[in-house]
Amino acid sequence: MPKWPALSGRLARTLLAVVAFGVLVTSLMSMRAEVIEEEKELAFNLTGLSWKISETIFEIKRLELILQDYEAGLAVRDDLILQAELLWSRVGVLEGSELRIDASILRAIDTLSGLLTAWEHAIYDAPDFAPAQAAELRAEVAARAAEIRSLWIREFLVDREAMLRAAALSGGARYEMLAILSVASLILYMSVELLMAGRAQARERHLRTAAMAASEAKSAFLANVSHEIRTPLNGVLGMAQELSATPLSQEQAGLVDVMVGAGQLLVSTIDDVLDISKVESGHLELEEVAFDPRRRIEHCVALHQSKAREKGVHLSLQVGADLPGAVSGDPMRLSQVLNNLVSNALKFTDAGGVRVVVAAAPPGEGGQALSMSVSDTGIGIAPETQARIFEPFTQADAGTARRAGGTGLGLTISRAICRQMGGDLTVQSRPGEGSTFVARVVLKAADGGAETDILPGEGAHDYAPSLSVPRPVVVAPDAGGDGGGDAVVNPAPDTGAGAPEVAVARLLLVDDSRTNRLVMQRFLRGRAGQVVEAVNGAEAVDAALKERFDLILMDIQMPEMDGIEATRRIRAHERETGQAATLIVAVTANVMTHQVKEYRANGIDRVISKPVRKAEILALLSDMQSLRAA
Amino acid sequence: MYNMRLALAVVVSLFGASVAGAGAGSSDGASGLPAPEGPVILTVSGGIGIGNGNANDAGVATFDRSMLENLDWREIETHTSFTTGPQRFAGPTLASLLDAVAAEGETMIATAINGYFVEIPVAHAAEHDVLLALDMNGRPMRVRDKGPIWVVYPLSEQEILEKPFDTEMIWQLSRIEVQS
Repeated sequence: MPKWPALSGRLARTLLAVVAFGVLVTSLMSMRAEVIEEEKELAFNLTGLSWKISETIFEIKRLELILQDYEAGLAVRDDLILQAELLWSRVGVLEGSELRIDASILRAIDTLSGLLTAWEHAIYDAPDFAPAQAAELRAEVAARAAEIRSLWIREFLVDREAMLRAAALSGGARYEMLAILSVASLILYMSVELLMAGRAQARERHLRTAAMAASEAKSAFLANVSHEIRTPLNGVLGMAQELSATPLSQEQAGLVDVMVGAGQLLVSTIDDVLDISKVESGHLELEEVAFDPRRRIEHCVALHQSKAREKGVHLSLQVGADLPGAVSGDPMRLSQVLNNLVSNALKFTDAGGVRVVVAAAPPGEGGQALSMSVSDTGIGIAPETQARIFEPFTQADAGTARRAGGTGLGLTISRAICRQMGGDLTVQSRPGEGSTFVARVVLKAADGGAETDILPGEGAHDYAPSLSVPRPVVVAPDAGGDGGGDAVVNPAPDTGAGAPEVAVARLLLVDDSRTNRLVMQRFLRGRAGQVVEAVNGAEAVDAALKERFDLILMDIQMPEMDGIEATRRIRAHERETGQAATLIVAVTANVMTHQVKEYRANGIDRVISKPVRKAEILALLSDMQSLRAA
Repeated sequence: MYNMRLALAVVVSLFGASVAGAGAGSSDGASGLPAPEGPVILTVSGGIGIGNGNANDAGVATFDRSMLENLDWREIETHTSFTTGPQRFAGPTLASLLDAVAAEGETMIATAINGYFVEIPVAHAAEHDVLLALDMNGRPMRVRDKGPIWVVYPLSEQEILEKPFDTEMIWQLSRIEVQS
């Protein structure tokens, strides 16, 4: 109901405008009728009076003629009397006229009437009417005729014309005023409408801005909170992994596994919450890199095989032969969707199998459409809950959450990813018979076939599969884990003879978190010669200006001076002194596309995402080694 | 206004004398109207079947006041747009006059003493009860009072606002010519 007053205000204004316009138009019309009526009356008056005056003058002239005849003995007294009667009747008509007659003419008529009265006895009753009398009377009536005529000429030609003009003008002026009023009221109405519309718009804009600001604040808050949680979690997980690499009893190893598992679940929950906030604020960004979809999908499914085996569920993958060798898009997000669907399927399937079928649609104008369907023989989903499972924090029922765990955000995020990729995520299911989720995405065709992404670089999700692998205490050679990611690598001090080669002689480790530095030191142990630590950008710049490093691991988000500013200063110094560029690798949780672009623009060579996995550090070091060897 | 000393008789007799020369003569044809004894105040000509003369000369019918008084004499009260308030008029109906002369025609030309004339449809006589008024408010009308005959269309106060028959209501009527 808050809309009602605004609506009624607008309605009232419109009604008022319509009524005002109606009144104006009606008065315009009635005024027009009035003016026409006035003009008609004026014309009638003018013609009527013309007639009566001319008839009077005519009768006077006839009287003159008869008087002349009488003088000459050609007319008798009766003729005279009849003509006098006729003239009397004209006088009577003029005096009794309803027409408007000018005062000067009325006075002239009065004079004529007085003349006739004065002569009446002589004409009608006197025993004798001498020709001399007739001549006298003739001169007098002739003078009256001339007077009336000249008055009438002036009246008719001058006064009446002026009157007509004035009438027309007064009508016209009123007409004009009404027309101006109409236009003015129309303009007023439109102005008011525009003003109100402008106000409403401004109010709306303000509300929208406020809402957007609130949403931005929420996103920023979430990002900050997640960062603050990740950093200590990074320490916990890193240390737990390091701990698991030391000689442990079976019981201790079990405890460490639980620790790592719990930490990794926490990481994935944070990731999900962050993702959903991005989805809701419309900030979900997609990468645009070339990759091999088949390899990516096979890798994804392989990660879940151990879990499937553990549950005794058959997990199969069928990839269409027509799948292109290379497409361009966001492989990480694509994997995220598939991982989510497969892990869900395994969660809810206790017997039978999970079947993943990937097929390519013929390449169209929009790009290469890919459909990934994941079918299971699990518990299925009731029709009434099928729509609900895509809502955030929703699972089929409250009991499911307890049984299956998870945040209930996976499907919401997956559907949003699919939709942003130009497709959708849909489900078909029958309770007790299983479910089929179909994810459809549209990817761009890649120009080159090169696989530029590195499979293990998939972020926190890759922790999960490694968990279920029974952890053997092995002595491994120095190598990055292949496929499994974080294969356990025994630290150098424990192996003695097989001490790894020192990959980096001098290394600058920049991070404001002591935990992170500690974790990194553990990862680097035995592989870096001298490690100098800095707790913020300023310290890092000082250190880098003092001595040359082979590698700088640079945190980005730090107090006082951030990693970007520090890198810029170091690069500036290098240019000034003509030194060779030091390899600077950003180590950060902020790895959104635009952020990475910004890092590179400011002189950062590579980016490693937090939480840091040992494998990535090892891969970096081995890259440096081979680079040096070349 | 002007004084009312002049009696009708004087006017009529003077008027009658003035038109005596144009009179229809002293014919006494059995089939015609009687010859007027007093002054002639109305002359009817044109498409008429009965005149004052013999059967061969039915072209003209002349009337004095007493002949008109012998027609269908009516007294009515009516409004006109030339007078103020209701007026009592008395005189023969136009229809009875046209009957008396056995008029045949569509229209008639009514002419006043001074030569003013107007065309009146013959049908109006029956449709509108047109009166040839000789008296107004109990007195014979003088020439200066629009006499001796005023063609009057009886109208209500509302009807005169439209001035429907102002043109036809000719006064000082002296001649009627029926057009066949």
